Amino acid sequence: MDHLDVVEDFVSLFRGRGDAYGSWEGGCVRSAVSPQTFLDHLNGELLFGVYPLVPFEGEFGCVWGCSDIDVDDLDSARNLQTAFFLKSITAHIEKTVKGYHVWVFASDLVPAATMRRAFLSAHQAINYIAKEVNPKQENPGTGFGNYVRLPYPSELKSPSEIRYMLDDNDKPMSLTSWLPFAVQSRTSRARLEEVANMYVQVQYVTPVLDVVTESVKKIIKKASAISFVIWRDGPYPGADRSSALYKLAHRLHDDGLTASEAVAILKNADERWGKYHLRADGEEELMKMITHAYGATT
Amino acid sequence: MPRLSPEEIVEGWKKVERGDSPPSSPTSTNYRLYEPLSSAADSYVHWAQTPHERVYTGITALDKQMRGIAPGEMSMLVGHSHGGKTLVLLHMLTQNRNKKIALFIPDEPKTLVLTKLTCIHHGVDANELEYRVGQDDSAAIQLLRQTAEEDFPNLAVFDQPLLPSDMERAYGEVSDLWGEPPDLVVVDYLELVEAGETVPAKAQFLKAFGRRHNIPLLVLHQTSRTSGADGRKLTMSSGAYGGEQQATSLIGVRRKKYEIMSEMTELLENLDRSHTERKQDRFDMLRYELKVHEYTISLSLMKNKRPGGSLVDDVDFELDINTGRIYELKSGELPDQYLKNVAWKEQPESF
Repeated sequence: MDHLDVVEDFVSLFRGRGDAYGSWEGGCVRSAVSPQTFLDHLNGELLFGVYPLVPFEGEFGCVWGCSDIDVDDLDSARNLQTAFFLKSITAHIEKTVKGYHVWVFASDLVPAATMRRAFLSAHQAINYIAKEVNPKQENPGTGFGNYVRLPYPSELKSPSEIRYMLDDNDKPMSLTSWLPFAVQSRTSRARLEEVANMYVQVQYVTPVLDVVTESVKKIIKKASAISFVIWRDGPYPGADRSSALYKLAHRLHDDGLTASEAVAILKNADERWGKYHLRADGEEELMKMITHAYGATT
Repeated sequence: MPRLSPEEIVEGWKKVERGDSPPSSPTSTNYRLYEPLSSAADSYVHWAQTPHERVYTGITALDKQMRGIAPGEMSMLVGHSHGGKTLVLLHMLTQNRNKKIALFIPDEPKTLVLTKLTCIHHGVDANELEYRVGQDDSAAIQLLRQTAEEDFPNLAVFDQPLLPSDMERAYGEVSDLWGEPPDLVVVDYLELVEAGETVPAKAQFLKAFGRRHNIPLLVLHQTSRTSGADGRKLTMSSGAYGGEQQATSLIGVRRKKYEIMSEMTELLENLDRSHTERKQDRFDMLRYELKVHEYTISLSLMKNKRPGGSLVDDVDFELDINTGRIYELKSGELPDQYLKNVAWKEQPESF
């Protein structure tokens, strides 16, 4: 394969929004994305991430979906891959810095809802929470949605030491050996829709909060030992803060604390861990976690 | 999560196809009792990293092996009646003045508890304290107040009958008063708990109480007459009708003098029937030992479920007869009170 073929296939798999991309360091860059941009990524001159959603059939569509397993849990990634395999969908596992990405490529544009729900179904089949399934929105409104960093940075210069696809033996695959396989194994819209339609949507109701007068120190004493440790020590090294907050919310629910008490604990933890508390939408994000932990009604 | 077999994932898909409720969280399940074994790792990490949440006896040899009584655990202090259990307990209280402690002690009025604590903590002779308070000595009265208000401000004593509902109420009241639950709940003694007909049932109730509130529990327990009545060495089966099975650790308290007195009584009866020199020698030796152990109290660790912890054989303490204070005796060391007594009696002859 020459470089042009490589880039062409790479673009066909990972294409997305053409007027903006995500920088490697984090943040949105409003600039045109062309085949040259992808080549620059593979050459290591400009590493970037792609926003998957593009206008499609009056809504939004994409050609790829990706579940970000942000911890070192290859078993879960393999489980997800097997779940797709059992529904005749080929999924690919990328080794990322902290964990794994599980990718599925569509043979043509599919509605964002279809891609997202197909992933959510597969997560339900393996009983593994879908924390970061991209596309993260079925409709991003006026925003761009979220981007995902591309694999194989600088691969054309030297084999990538991070962000590469894994073969069945958990060994790294070079871009040129993986690409033809990925292009051939793309999934039809009909197949994805069939799986997406199985998704059982969970209804969440935002819990009503009471006034909490007790101190956080007193409230945390009602929680279990593991909740206390999470609250006190924060995320494990290498784990992300939002996951820890999310896990803490569910633990507090299981411990029998009220939603109001859980909010107090989460806010206290967040102030120390510095994830949301300075963000304008910080409270909203924490309430989403509380709602997810306390408000499931299906 | 663990690697699943394709068959398990097929089952998972079947559930999704049936529209079964999806999981609400990665760890949350509908199980109420089951928890993965791995959660024990978290509990252990918490235990190991929070030694300050445990309560220590203040007795080095025991603390080294027990490494404290942790929240949810129950430790028992076992001994014969009048064998020094409450004295050892009061000694522990003096070692934990910074802890918030709820003491349930129905057979001892709180005035007596305060008086004993005053004597132990300040090294005051109980007779002298009583005399001076009787004489309206303001300093002595002030000492009592100081002990209650300044030296033991975090000690709540409940001398009412031990009904479960009252225990819950008292627990709630002190938690409310202190703004947090007690660091330790003490029950003196198990047989007085009015929950259940049998001793094991009472112990079970207390253990459940401790676990429900996630607090360390210290329970005093009177041994059966046959095994501990004469101050003989205590064993695992010394608990009256059981109850000790529920404990994480079992501390034995005894007065060796009772064992010696018992043997002397037996020997005297024997000597009346057949007098031998060997028996007479033994009797003389016991008379000497009785003088020594008039001032001792002995502790042992008879059960210890702490991994890596050992049992502890008799550790002898000198018991200050006047104040109730106890001091650890080094191996071979004789009690000061015995030595003073001997010296006082021998002095006239030596001059």
